[in-house]
Amino acid sequence: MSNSVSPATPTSVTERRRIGRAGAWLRLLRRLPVIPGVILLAVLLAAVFAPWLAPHDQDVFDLAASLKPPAWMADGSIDHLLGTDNMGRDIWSRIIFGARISLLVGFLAVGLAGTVGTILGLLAAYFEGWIDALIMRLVDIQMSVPSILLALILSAAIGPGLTTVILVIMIVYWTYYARLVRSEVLSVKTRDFVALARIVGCRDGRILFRHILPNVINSIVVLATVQLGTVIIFEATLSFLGLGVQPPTPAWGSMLADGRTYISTAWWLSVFPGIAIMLTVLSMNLFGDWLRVRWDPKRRQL
Amino acid sequence: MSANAMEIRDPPGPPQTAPTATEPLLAVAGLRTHFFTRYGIIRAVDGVTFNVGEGEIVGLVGESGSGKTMTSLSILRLVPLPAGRIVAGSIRFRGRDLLQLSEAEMRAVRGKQISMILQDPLTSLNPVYTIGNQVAESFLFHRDPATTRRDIASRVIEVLRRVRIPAAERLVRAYPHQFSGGMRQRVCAAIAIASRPALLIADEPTTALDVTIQAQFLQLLKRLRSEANLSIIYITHDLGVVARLCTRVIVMYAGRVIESGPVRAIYKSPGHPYTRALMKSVPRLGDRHERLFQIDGQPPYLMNMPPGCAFRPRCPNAQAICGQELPPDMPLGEGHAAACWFAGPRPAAGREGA
Repeated sequence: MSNSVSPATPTSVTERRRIGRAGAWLRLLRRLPVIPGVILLAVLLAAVFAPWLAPHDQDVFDLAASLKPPAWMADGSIDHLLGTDNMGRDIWSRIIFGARISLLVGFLAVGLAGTVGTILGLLAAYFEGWIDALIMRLVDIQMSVPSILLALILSAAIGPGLTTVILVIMIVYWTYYARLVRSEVLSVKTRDFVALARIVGCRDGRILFRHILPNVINSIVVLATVQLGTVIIFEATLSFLGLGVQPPTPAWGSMLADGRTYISTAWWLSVFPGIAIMLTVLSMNLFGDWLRVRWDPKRRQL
Repeated sequence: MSANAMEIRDPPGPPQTAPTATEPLLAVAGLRTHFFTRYGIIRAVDGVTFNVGEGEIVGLVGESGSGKTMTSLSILRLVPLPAGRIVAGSIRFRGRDLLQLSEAEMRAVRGKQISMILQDPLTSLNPVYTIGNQVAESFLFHRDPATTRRDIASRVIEVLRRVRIPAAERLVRAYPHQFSGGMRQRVCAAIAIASRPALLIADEPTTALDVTIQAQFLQLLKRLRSEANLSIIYITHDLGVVARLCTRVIVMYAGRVIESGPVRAIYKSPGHPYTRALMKSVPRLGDRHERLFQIDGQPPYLMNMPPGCAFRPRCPNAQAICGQELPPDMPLGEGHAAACWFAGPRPAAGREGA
């Protein structure tokens, strides 16, 4: 495109190079999700190295220093960057530790839901008949149960906590994978290479996992990335309702809930965990969008 | 493509092992494959009988829906479930009735002794694996335990050379999308012949290829036949290809064999009016007719077949008896028979020379 510059608008070589360099950066930003990537990396590092990164212990009470505002406000101190909560705990440290719960629940629950949903979707599409009917009716039933109700029932049955949260998320979210995988496999399995695999003498298991699954794995990964964000919000919702990780372990959702009684006097209790959730989920969604554009079979043909 | 059939025809080639007193490689007898649907029974294959001798190329001809593909899938026992079922008949292959084998025994036959090439090379290969990987798979299944990874790699290259893929060492690492249609069909052929089967079923393998590539591919099939003493069932609706490639022809209509015999006999004097009409509908270079010849009417709906001859509604010389009784096979000469009450060696109008 640079050689289409007309002689009427002379540009010096250095200027053109400068534009070229800036253009290259812009193109890189457009092509790779740099900003979301950096944020996600930061969250990941925070989760892994929380004990070393956090300036304070996440659940030591210091009532003398309770409800301190963030550092840049009149009463704030650099010691508590984002202020303290009603128990005098450092919010910045609790957010860093909270990343652990969010990511753990996100990855574990999405991984489990993805595995279960993928296998059931594969079976449904491949064998059709009553297996398909059974699995898909199960999906329909599951999708008609309000997820919060399910969470309440489960935590009443086995008590609230991390396991409950992961179980609930798995039960709610496997259905999306089952539907997606089923629809994709229905189209992939009619292609000739599947028939040829059978002609060569493959068993059903090999055809399913060696020939069909690799053809749909892209869509599964894209759905998983997009769902990570949703799942983190759902986890925060459960924690907000007190069904999730129990105090004193910090989770972004429960921090939000704890802060809501102080929202008029000490807004920082709720706002900063909220921002953490928002930034993480937004980054994951952007990252997922990028993956989808790159991997979506409908656009891959370009 | 059929117009120049006569010019490209090869000399008869290596002597044919005629299906003589010894049992032929494949003997299909009275095969019936029906589909049981909500609306009724579709008789896709309804009493098909034919033989394939060793090293023989047999053409299976007929229009869409005449049961060609279902016949070949029945031979491999891969009729689509749950609706399709083989309800009668026998398929004797090397002295064993394939219909009596267990599923595990059948898996050992598929790929190893009978293999298949499908119509569309674009979807016949798995896009996520390399060519080498996919060819290797047929070795993986039917290997003796002593073979090593390196053995397999060298055999993959060897078999790719046999189907005349240039620079096979390099291309084993390529993915299907990097290949053209003709090359992909060669890879499919390599997969099919990798385990040295005795019988290859080629289901319209050149339909998706353009004419020059098609000629190359037919040459390849002929060479493979003579190199490996491979028997081939070649399914097509292209009579020109049949004339170039096959030694015998089987013409199917509405799930039944209506004529079979040596290529020369059938091209010279087709016995069944349907075969005659098929030959007339091949467009020829230099024809001045405004309209191409077509067979009037539609092929019968397999759900409710009329009694008697299935071709009667479209037949120009149908008589009363045609609508009442199924015509028997009328012998017309050496290995040549047609299922028509009035089968006779009538010359095909202006189609001599083949």
